[in-house]
Amino acid sequence: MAKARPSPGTASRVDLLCKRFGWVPYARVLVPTGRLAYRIERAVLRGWRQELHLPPYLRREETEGHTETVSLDAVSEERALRQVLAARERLSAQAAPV
Amino acid sequence: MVRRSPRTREQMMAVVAAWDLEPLAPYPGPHARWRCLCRRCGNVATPTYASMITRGKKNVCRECDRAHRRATFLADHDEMVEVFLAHGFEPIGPYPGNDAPWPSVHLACGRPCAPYPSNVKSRGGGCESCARETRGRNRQVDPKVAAAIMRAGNLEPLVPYPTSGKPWLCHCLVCGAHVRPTYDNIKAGVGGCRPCGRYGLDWDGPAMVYVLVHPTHWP
Repeated sequence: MAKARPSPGTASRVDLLCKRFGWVPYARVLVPTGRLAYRIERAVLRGWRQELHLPPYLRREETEGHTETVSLDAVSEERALRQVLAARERLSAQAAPV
Repeated sequence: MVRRSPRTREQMMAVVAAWDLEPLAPYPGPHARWRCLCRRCGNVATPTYASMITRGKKNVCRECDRAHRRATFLADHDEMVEVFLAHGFEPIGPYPGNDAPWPSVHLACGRPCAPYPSNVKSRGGGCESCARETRGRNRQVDPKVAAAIMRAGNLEPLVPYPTSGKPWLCHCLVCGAHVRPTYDNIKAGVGGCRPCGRYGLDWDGPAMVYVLVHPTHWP
């Protein structure tokens, strides 16, 4: 999982991850602020590490951003996307002005 | 301060016999190690002939010398316990000798420690935990100075100074965010406010969360 700012015309971090380490984007979820993207990522990672007790799947030398990886056997890409969308719903509602 | 070398073999053997040694090899010369049997301890000693004729030498056999030093400097258990108690340590177990740590309890702080008896005797100290705390106190930054450095970095501290390496809740004077940089980082010149940072993710602009898959790990 990764977060990035939309950067047309320049190589973003996701482009570098794909080019250097062979990652393939499965889905992208647009969010209004980088702060919300960061919180979504933290929430999903917390779910993997603390609730499901799943360790990072790859090692530091295998990819950049290894701490944000999880085994596909444990969490499928569909499930990961559902978790991201659920976190977006929940955190957007929290951040919305009353 | 070397005695004159003996002129005859008999004189040389008399010197060797005076140290209770029995040569196991031919005489190698005055400064080479000479393999001998020590009759005092039964071990093989390798002194040089020059050391045998040195004035003031008590032992030329290393094992005998070690035993001599141990017998000379080893204190009595009860006497050493008194020394420890006088310096605020309560020893546990038998006295191990001067050159081995003696498990004890530091009476001032109540924590276990294992000072060397020689250190306690000569310096009176020996509790590592207390020493570490003292070093920390001596190095501690004045909280007022620390707060001034944070303000110089556009951060207003909201809670008392924790320690230099712990996150310190602050209010960013530029964007108003609550951030938790460490004093060490700010002092080193690292920016303390992530939203104000001119690198990485733009916290206030639109962003994307990607779900990436690695084809080699596809089931």
